[in-house]
Amino acid sequence: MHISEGVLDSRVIIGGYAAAAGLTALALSRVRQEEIPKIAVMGAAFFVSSLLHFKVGVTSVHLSLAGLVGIVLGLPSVLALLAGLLFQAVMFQHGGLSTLGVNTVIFAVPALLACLLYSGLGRLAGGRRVVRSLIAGAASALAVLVGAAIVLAVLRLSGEELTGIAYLFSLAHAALALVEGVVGFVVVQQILRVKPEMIPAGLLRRRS
Amino acid sequence: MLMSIGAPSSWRLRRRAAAGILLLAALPVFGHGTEYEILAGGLVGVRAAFDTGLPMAEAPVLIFAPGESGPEQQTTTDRRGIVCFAPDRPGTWVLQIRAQGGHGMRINLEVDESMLPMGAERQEAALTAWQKLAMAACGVWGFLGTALFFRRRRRETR
Repeated sequence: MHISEGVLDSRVIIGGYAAAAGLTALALSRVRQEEIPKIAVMGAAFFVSSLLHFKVGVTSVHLSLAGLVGIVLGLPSVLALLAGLLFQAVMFQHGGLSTLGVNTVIFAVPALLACLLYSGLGRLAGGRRVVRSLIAGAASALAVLVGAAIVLAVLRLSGEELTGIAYLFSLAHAALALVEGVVGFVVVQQILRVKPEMIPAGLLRRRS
Repeated sequence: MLMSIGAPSSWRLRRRAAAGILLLAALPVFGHGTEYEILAGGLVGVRAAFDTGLPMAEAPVLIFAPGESGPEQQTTTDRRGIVCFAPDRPGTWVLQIRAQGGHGMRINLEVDESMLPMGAERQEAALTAWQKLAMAACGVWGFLGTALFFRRRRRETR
C-alpha cells in the first residue's frame, strides 16, 4: 500500500504532509509518557509486518496491521505508523521520504477508523470476548480496504489513469483484508484474555 | 571493431528476409552476411531488413540470453528496423524478430568477455535475505529499545 517516490504530483505530496502533520500534532497532544512503550512495540510490529509478502496472483501484498495498530493504540497509533513508515522508507525503500506524509494518511485514517468502529461496536457487544474479537477482525479487514481505496483515490488525484492494474490491486487487497481480519481477531482475542486494559476505550478516551 | 559471423541456417529458409546488423557507427550491411560492432558502452545494435532493403520497422523482438529458454527482454525495432540491447554476459545471444505477414528472423550473436561493457556483471540483488533480516532486527531493536527506555524512566520517577 506504500506509494513510492516519483509517482505523485507535488500538490498531493504537500497535501499529504499537511494532513499527516495535523494528525501527528493531534496525536502528540494526547499522548502520555506511559503510553510510549506500547506505541513503540506496535510500531515495531508494523515496521516488520511490511516485510512479510504474500503472493496474490501476479502481484504481491504485505501485511499492514494498520487496523490492529489503531485498535490497540487509539489516536497515538499515528505516531507508531509514522515512525514505522519512516524506517521502512529509509531502510528498505518501501515508500519514500517525499511520500511519507501521504503514506501516513493512507495508514493512519484506516487505523483511526478501525479504532472508532471497534470502540463503538465493542461497547454494544458488552463484555463478550468473542464478539469483541470478531468486531476487531472485521475492523482490521475493513481498514485494509479503506487503505486500498485511499491509495487509488490518491493516485487518481495525481492524475494517474486507473486501469486493470487498479482492479488487480483492489482484488489483491480484498485477499489481504481476509488475512488481516484473521490476524486482528486472533491478536485482539489474546489481548482481551491476557491484558484487556491494554486496549483503549475509544479514540480519545483512555481506560482509567 | 567489425566482425562478421556466418549466417545462421534458419536465415536461409527465409528467402525474403535478410538482415543487416550494425552498431550505431557501423556500416549498414544487407544480404546474408551479418556484421556487428560493439560500442564503447557495450551496446549491441542490430538492423533487420527484408532483402528488398525495406527495414523491418516496429517489429516485435525477443532477446534470449545464452542458455535461457525464456526471453531476457522483449522490445520492438524502431522505424529503421534497428534494435539495441546491452548483453551482460558472454555466450550466444539470440534475437528473434517477427515482422508482419509471418516474416521474421533469428539471429545468433556471439558475445565474448571483451565485448561486455564495464560494470556489466550481473547485478546481485541489492540486499540478501540475511542482510534484510539483520536490518529488520536492528530496526525492531530500535523500537523495543525506545519502549524499554521509557518503561525504565517511568519506574525511576515513581
